[in-house]
Amino acid sequence: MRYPRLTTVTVAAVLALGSAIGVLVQARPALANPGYHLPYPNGLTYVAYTHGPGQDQYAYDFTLGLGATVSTAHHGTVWSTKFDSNTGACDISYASYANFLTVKDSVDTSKSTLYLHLLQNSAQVSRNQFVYQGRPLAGADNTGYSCGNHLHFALETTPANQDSCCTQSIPITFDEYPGGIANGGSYTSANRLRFDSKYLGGSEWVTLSPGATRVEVGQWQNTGWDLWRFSQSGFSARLGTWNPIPGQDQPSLIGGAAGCSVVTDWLGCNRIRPTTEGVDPDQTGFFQFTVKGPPSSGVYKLYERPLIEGVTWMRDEGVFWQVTVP
Amino acid sequence: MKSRDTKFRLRSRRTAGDPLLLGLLGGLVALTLVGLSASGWGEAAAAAITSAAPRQVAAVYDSTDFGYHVDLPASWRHSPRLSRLINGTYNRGHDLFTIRTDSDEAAAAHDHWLGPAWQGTVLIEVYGNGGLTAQQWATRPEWDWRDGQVVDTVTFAGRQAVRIRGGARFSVAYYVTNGTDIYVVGLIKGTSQPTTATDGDLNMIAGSFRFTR
Repeated sequence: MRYPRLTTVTVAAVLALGSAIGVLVQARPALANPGYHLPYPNGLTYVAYTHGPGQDQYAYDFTLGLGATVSTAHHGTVWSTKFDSNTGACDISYASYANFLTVKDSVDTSKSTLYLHLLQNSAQVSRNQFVYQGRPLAGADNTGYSCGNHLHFALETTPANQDSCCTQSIPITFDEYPGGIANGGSYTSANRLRFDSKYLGGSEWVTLSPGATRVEVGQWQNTGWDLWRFSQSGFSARLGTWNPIPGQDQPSLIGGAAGCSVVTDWLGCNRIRPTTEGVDPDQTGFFQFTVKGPPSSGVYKLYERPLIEGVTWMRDEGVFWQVTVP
Repeated sequence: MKSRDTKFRLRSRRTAGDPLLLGLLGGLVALTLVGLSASGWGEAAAAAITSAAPRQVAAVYDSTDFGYHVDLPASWRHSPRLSRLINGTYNRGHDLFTIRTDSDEAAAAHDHWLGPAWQGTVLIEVYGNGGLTAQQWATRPEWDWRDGQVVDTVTFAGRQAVRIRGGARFSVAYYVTNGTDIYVVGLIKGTSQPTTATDGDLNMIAGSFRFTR
């Protein structure tokens, strides 16, 4: 069963998705290469500087400090890297000493994103690795031709010829700021969190006689940048009982595990295990579980919220299941 | 910058208009190529030189800082603007050779990455090798890499060397050890390079590289 308060859920989703939803409902003919997020972690704010005419014309400099996390702006594959350098200065003769990383776009491979002036040996990804939007790539620094710690970021055409080192930057629009980025302005990232979720749907509400059972299914999309693991070891995704009924981590009256007041097929008195073993970002995780009609007549609700066990609760969208006992 | 320690000799002015000298020079270049090829300079040189007719040496550059020599075709020069002596334990510095004039280079030198001023050039970088072989050094995970690059072993400057084609910065780069240092002789090509910076010129400069100490 599902959705309690459609209006609340809809409003919450709009608020939570913020400008991203706004972008979807707006006509944006002027957008250039959308689908990119600001290249640093969600919630952080940095000042952006633009470049003058030249190869860097459409590049941006963001004022990330030494070692600050650089995040993936768009899904893709790590396509080139250099992380050996500890050398940099405000002089063009140092340009070849910049540490860098490029990510070839997963959809349009003619485009790549360039992350420049990175910290020596700070790579958090490996060669040829597929990286999801939001994933940390490396730390910022001042290597190469650079006049202070910052991240130089650009969308570029991927060189068509393996012979060619460098190409012209091309216009980019960040989904957080579809109207564009102005020189010297401060901009807050809404890039993906490591763990995040979006409710897609579930079974119908059900009427059960006392003691009768029914198998229910709920679907959540992995909207973070990391994998949901379902094993017992580390970063395991679960559904947990939530507020207001029965309350965070409280046992439910319509399902549970051995040793609980109600015994069905759950992982615990307040936890439901997923059906799928491992869900990549953008993929759907299925949670199948059995509910049982309580002995007394009434309407019984079970609010659930996805979580990564021991790490974080994911998005609360007010999702609940409902069992009516006549 | 390091031009103070370097001998940079223009030959074109001495030989211009002298058919005998030109003939002798051409013959010397041809003999040198044959000799180098026969002596095992081999694969790298062959790959480098066959793409264009032999270029005439118009100038030479002898680096006393880094202990090497290269020949330069007509109009090519060492760039003080884009060269740098670092003298670090790991990073010793680099020399850049370009066909751009100083004013043209200055006008093209505005990007923070390897912009037009760096494209169509030969870049010679020198690093401490940390006791690694050229193969080990050039394939370290932190070093310059691009998906699809091809790594092979060649003879370069008379020594066993590693060649990487299609790397991140260099279309071709040769990695060769000299004592405790490793020399990276790389050809940078890009969409904004001057049309006059031909493959033949770039290959000739790289192919003429030799150690002088």
